[in-house]
Amino acid sequence: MPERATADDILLSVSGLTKTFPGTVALDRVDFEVRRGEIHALLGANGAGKTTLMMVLSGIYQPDGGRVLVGGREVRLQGAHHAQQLGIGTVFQELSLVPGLSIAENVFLGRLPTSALDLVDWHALRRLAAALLSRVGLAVDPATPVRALSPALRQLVEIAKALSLRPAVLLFDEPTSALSRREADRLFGTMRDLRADGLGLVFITHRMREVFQVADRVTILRDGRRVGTFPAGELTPDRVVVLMVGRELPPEAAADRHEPGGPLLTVSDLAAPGLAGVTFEVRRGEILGVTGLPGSGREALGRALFGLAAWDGGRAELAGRPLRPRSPAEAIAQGIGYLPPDRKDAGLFLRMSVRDNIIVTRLAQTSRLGMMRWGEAAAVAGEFVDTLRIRATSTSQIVGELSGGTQQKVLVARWLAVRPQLLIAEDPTVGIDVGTRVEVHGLLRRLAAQGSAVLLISADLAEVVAVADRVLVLADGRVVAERAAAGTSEEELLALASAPPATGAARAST
Amino acid sequence: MLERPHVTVKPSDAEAGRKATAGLARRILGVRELLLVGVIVVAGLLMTALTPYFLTWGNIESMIIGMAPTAIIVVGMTIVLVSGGLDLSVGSVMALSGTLAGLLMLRGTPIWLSILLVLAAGAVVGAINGLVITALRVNPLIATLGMLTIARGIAMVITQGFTVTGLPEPFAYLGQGVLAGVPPMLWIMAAIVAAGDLAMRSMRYMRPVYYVGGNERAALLSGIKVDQVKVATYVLSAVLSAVAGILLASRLMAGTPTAGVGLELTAIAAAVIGGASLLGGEGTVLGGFLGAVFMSIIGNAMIILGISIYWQGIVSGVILILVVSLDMLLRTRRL
Repeated sequence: MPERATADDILLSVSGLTKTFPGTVALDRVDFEVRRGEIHALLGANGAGKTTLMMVLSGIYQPDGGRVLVGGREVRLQGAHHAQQLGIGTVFQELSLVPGLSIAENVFLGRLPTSALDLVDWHALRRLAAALLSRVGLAVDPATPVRALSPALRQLVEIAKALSLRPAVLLFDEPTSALSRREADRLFGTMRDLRADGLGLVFITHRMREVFQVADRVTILRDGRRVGTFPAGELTPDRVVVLMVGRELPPEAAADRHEPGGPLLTVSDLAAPGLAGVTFEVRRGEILGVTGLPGSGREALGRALFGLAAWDGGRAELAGRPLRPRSPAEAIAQGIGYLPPDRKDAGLFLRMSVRDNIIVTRLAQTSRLGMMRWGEAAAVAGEFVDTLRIRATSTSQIVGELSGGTQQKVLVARWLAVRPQLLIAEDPTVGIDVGTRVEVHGLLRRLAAQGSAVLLISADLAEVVAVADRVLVLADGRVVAERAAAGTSEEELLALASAPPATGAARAST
Repeated sequence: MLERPHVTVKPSDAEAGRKATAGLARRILGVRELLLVGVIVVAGLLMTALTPYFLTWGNIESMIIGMAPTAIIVVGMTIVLVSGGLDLSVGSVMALSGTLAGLLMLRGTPIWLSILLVLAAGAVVGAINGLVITALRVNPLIATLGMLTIARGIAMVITQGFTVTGLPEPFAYLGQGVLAGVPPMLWIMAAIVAAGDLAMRSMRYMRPVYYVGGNERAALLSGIKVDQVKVATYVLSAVLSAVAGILLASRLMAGTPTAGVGLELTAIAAAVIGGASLLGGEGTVLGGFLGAVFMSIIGNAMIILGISIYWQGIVSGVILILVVSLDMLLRTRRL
C-alpha cells in the first residue's frame, strides 16, 4: 500500500502485529495505521480479529509479536491506562459508566478536579464537563444522572469521557450497534467534528452504509490477517463483502419467494401498551415485515403476541384457535417462537453448552419418563450445528465462547428445533457480519417455505425489503401502511414511518 | 500479564482465540468433584499419618452421622443456588421440624403421621419463601432471612425454649438403629444425595433450574415457567431441611429449638466449595456433598488433634475464602 502520508501525520501505526490465543491465531502479522484527521473503518466478519486488534491498540491485550509506534516512537503498551497516557482513547461498545452518578462525575471519574483540602471542586468539574459535552454535541446539564440518558446519549458521554484525556487517537468498538439510524447520524456528526480537530478515529461496524457514510479509509480483516487498506471512495459495498468473506455471496434476491398459503394469524384491533389497535393478517409460508420508528409499536407488537405484555383489547386467532397468551410459555404452547433483539440478555444461556441452549425449547420432547435422553439431545443439537454451519468445536462448547453471529445461529436453531407455526424475529441480524446475516435470512426463508410464517420485526429497512414478502409500517401504535416488499423501497418505507399521522385520531395512546 | 480490564468489553473476535483455553478450563471445572475427592483423600491421609484415631470405623461413622443432616440440607441449598437464589432459613427450619416432630409425638400422634405432618409443614414454609420471592419480588436474601428468624421464633414459642424429650422409643430407629450395618439415616442421606444429583443432571423437571439460574429472562422467553421453578426449589430446600430435622431429632431423641444455628452458612460454604456459584446456573449436588464431607473432615481433624473448638470458625472461614479465590483465579487465568 502506498504511504503518501508524512511521518508526522501518522499518529499510531503497528506492523507485523501478532496475537495468539492457545489454539488460534487471532491476529497474524497485521499492519495498520491511523493518520491525523481521518476516520478509519475496521471491517471483517465475526472472528476476523477486529476486536482483538482494538484491544491490542487500547493496551488491554499484549501482542505476541510486532511493533507498535505512537507518534513515531516505538512503545510497549502496558495496559489501558498506559495507552490513555500515550493519547489512545477507547470508547467501548458496552458502556463503562456509573448510572447513579452525574454526567460530569462520570466524565472525570477517578480524576475529579479538587480545590484546597482535596475537596471536589464542583464548579470546575461542571465547567470542564460542560466544555467537553458541547464538543460532542450533547446539550444536557452535566449534573444530570447518567441513568436518565438514552443509550445514544450515554455513548456521547463515553466519548466526552475519552476526550477528557486529550487523546490523539480515538477507538470505537461498534459505536452504532445500539443506536437508531438518526442517533447514528448524529454520532457521525460528532465524529466528523473530531476529525476536523485533527484526531484520528477508528471504528468497527457491521453496517455497510456507515462505512460509505463517514469513513475516509477502510481496513478489512479476514481470519486474523489484513486483506487490505483502501480509500473508501475506491470501494463498493459488493466489493467490501467479497473482501470480507473471501467469496461471492449469493445475491439476496427474492428468487425463492413463493405463493403464501392460507391465513395463519389474524389480529384485529390489538391494543396493548404501545399499541393502539392493530389489525393485520399473516399467511402460511409468508414473511411479514414490520417496521417503524422506535416507539412506533414495532417492539410492542412482538411483546404482545408472545405474551410478554397484557392485552387491553382486541382479538387474535392462530391456526383457527383464539390467541391471547398471558405468558411466553402459553405463546410457545400455541406454536409461537420468539427471537429477542438483545440476544445476550434475553436469549442465550452464555455459561451453558450449545446443546443446552438449543434443546431448552424442547425439554419435553427430548426426555422419556421424566429423564433427559442426552444421546438424542446431542443428536438434535449436532444436526443443527451441521446444517446451520454453527462454528463450534462441539455441541458441548459453552455458548459464551462463540462469536456473535454464531450465537445468533444457535438461537435460531433453538426455534427451528420446535418448528413453530409463527416465528417472531426481532432485529435478527443486529451486530452480525454480512455472511452470517445472509445465512440467518436464508433460515427464516426456509422456515417459511416449510409452511410456517415469520413476523420479521426490524428497524433495518434494507433487511425488511430484501427478506419480507409484505411489509407493515407502524407509527403511533397503529398500522399506517402496508406494501408488497417487491413494490417498495427503503426510502418509501422510511417516509411512511416518519410521516405525521394522517388524521388527528391516530394519536398514540400509551 | 492478563489483568481484567476495568471495563466490560464485548468479546467477539477474541472469542475464537479463547475456545481452546476455555475448553480446558471447562474440563477442569467439570472435574471439580474429582479435585475435591483428591483433596479429601489427601486430608484423610494426612490425618491418618498424624493420629491413629482418625482412620477408625468409630471415628469415620461418627463423622458421617454428624454430617448427615448438613449433607441433606446442602443438597437443597445447592439446588437453590443453581437457580440463582439463596435460602438462609434452612437451619431454623431444621430446628422447627425437630421440635415440631417431637411435640406431635408427645401428643400421641403416630410416628409416621408426625413425620408426614412435619414434611408438609416444611413444604408450606418453602412455598411461603418461594411466593414471597416470586410474587412479592422480595430479594431471596431478605425473604429467607425473615423466615430464618420466624421459623426459629416459632420453634422457641412452641417449646418455650426447652428441648423436647421423652420421644417414643421406636422413633430412635432412624438415627440409632441398624440397617445393613449403619443407622438408617445414613442410607437416607445417601439416597437423597444420589437422587438429587441424578435429578439435577438429567431430570426433565429439574434441568430448568440451570436455565433459570443461568439467565432468568432467557429462560422465561424460552417458555420455562420461571416462578414455578423458583418456588419448587425453595419447597425442596425446606422439605430437605425438615428431613434433616427429623433425622437429627431421632438421633438425639430430642427436639432442640436451638439446633442448626449458623447451619445456613455452613451449607452455603459447602455448596460453593463444591462448585455452586452465588450467581446461579452452576453447581452439582455431588459437588455440594463433597464440599460438606471436606468441611466435616476439617472439623473432625481439629477435634481429634485437640485444637480448641473456638478455632473451628476461623479455619472453616479461611478455607472457604481460599477455595473460592483459588477457583476465581483459575477461571480468570484461563478465560
